[in-house]
Amino acid sequence: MAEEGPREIGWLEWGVAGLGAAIVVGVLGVLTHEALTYEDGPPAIVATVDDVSRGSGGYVVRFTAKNEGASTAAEILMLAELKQGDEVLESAEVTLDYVARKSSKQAGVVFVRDPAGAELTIRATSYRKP
Amino acid sequence: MAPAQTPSRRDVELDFLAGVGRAVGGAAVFSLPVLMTMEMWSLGASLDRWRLLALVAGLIPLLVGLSRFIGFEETTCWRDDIRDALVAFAVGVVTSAVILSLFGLIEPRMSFDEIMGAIVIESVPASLGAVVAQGQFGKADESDERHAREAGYWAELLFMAAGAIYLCFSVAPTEEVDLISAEMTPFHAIALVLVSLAAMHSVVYVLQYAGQEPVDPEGAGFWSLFARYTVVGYALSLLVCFALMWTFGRFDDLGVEAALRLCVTLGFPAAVGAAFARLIV
Repeated sequence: MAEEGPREIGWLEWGVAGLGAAIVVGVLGVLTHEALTYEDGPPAIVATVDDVSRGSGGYVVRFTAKNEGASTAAEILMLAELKQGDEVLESAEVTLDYVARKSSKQAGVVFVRDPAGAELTIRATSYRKP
Repeated sequence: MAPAQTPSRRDVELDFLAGVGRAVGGAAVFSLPVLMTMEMWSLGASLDRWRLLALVAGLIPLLVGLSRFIGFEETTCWRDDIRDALVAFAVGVVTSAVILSLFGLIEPRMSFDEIMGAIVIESVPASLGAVVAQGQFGKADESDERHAREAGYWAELLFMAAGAIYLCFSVAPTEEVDLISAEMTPFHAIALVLVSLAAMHSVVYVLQYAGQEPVDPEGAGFWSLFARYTVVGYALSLLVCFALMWTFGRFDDLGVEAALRLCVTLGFPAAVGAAFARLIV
């Protein structure tokens, strides 16, 4: 290449360079925005039930656990309970590996009883800092 | 090759077989780390079939392009390149299938989907290896020289993409990438972007590895080189990471910022792979 002397750089090549620069600047921009708004707070796991379906092994409750807090949680223990008044009819647990901040994970629990006939609550009972 | 103008039919076939043998070697070298990773086998079974299809659809043009510039055999026209890319893909698929069977990872009792998925995923690094092995370890001759000289800007970009795919393919499916990016604060992520850029530029232009690009190949200054090669290369690496992570379904539950952090985390090995690919190829 050297012996051919200086090569002319076409507009397409500069266009690609511009595109690359835009991507890198964009990435840095989002990260900087994140850094500026970053605060070290506790994770906040909120579970919402997606659907309940009847399988051969019982009633499968699928839910999404979203971490709305400011930091990532690991080994989150989710406790799902079927209650009637103050009485706990049935409970199930599932551990989520980790949920990054502002992200969510899907999981499921299986009950013998139909959750439709009772009050279903799903909440996080413990977590570990990753 | 000897000065003989028209090699006999038998020589032609023998040459081809030797080439295939070298390709099999390259396929094994490139794919073994991935073949022996548990996440990869399970991915093959669980991956959405459309994404698997997208993976292969992206792989073939990449192989054609690589074959164009480094070549399974010395090629002169696009038809040859397409043929060589398909041979490399076939070598990749067969090598993956044979090694997976040797390890007892695919068995007749498994479902067709599972076997197929595992082989297709492993065929990506294997066929990359097949193409590169021939280019790097095959017999050099005049036509190779000519090709190397013709490899211009777009070829450099192609090499960078291939290097990025190779190095981050074996890391992308692992849980560790998620863990690392989950633990990083935004400050870590920004630092990683800057270090990735600096590493890419240093590897190719500063550290004097054999095969280093001349600092001033086209009479271009630092900023011109940095903008046209390093920045574009890094953006390309991020795009490769994005494509791979999307294919592997790793963005499915993530927010935008978490997904971006994941790309930046994986972008570091991708950037280093891209930089070294420019030296090696």
